[in-house]
Amino acid sequence: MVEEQKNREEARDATAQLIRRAQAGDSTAFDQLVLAHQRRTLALAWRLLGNAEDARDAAQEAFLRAFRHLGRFDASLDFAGWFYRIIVNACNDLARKRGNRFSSFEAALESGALAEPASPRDTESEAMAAQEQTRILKALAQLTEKERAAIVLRDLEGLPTEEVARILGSSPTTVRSQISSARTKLKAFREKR
Amino acid sequence: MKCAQAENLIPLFVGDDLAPREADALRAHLASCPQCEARAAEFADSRAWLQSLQPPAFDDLRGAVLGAIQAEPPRGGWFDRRRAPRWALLAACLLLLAGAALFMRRGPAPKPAPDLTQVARPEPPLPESRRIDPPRFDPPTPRRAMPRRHPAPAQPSPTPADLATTSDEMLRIEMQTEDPNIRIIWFAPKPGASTNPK
Repeated sequence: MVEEQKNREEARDATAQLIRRAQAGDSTAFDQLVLAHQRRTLALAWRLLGNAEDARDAAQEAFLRAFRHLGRFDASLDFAGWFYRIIVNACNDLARKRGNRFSSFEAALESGALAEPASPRDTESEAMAAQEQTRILKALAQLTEKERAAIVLRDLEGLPTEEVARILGSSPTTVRSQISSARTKLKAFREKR
Repeated sequence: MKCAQAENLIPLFVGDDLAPREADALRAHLASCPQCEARAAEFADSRAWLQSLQPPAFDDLRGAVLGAIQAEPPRGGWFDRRRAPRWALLAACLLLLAGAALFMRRGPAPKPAPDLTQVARPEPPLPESRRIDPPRFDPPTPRRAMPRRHPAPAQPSPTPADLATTSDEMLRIEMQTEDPNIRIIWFAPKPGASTNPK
């Protein structure tokens, strides 16, 4: 536990240093920031939007916005929280641009673009696992936009409820209610075989 | 705790989202209620199922991000250096607009207001012929003066004008507007006078 906290603090310090260097005009520092955060950014965007293509576009837009506003960011503050807000907003904007998020999620489900297709070399168990992944995405697609954002940030990103509330611009009570509703719906979907 | 209450708390309990006191109360209930305990286990399984979702492998995003940054118009330093003059220009425009709006609202310079102290003296009651009028006062038309010149013979009810000239407790203020046919007459209780009818 102590070791984990120490690692987290070291990572935060390293990020703060990269931000200061990027703010001073060091282009390689921003490149390193992208390298350090791209995996998590893409994963979050994919969970929120439900397909890889939109996730890539939203993640790219999020990094671009971060670059534009980095000059005004206080490097001593929590970069991750600030950047989470940017990612969620970029995903919302992209979903709005393409109709609305729910319908784009549904359309992706119908077209089969949500899950990576199983290759012929996949074993039976791998094929079943891929099928289960698709089912989880379908379950997520049943949620409202706000429920999905809350449950993804809380249960998949592992953020505390208060942090989720800050990112979504809601109160912790509202977020708890959305999480409770989302868990109930997900359980009901899972039981519906 | 009743099962209905427990049912509402279980979805939050499985993710450790309850306050410690609520969580303890629910834990005690689950220990004594097999049905609710089974329900909590189902919720925990469902949460674990969701957490098994694994995103696909993505290509490196750095090339695309750096390409997009380079394709951006040169906003960074350029924009920052010129931000202050932009704000100054905006502030100057707003000030100009506010000034213009104020000028248009005021219109031409106002004419000097009549000296109210000269007309706000109801007592002693002046005869009609000696009333002090503002400089641009036009004499009342005969039609307006008619009721006073020809009062009803049997106990006429006093008009406000009569009150002003006859009552010790009323203050009368007259103002002549630019329109010679419109005259504003304002009656008010005299300061310090009793408002009770005698």
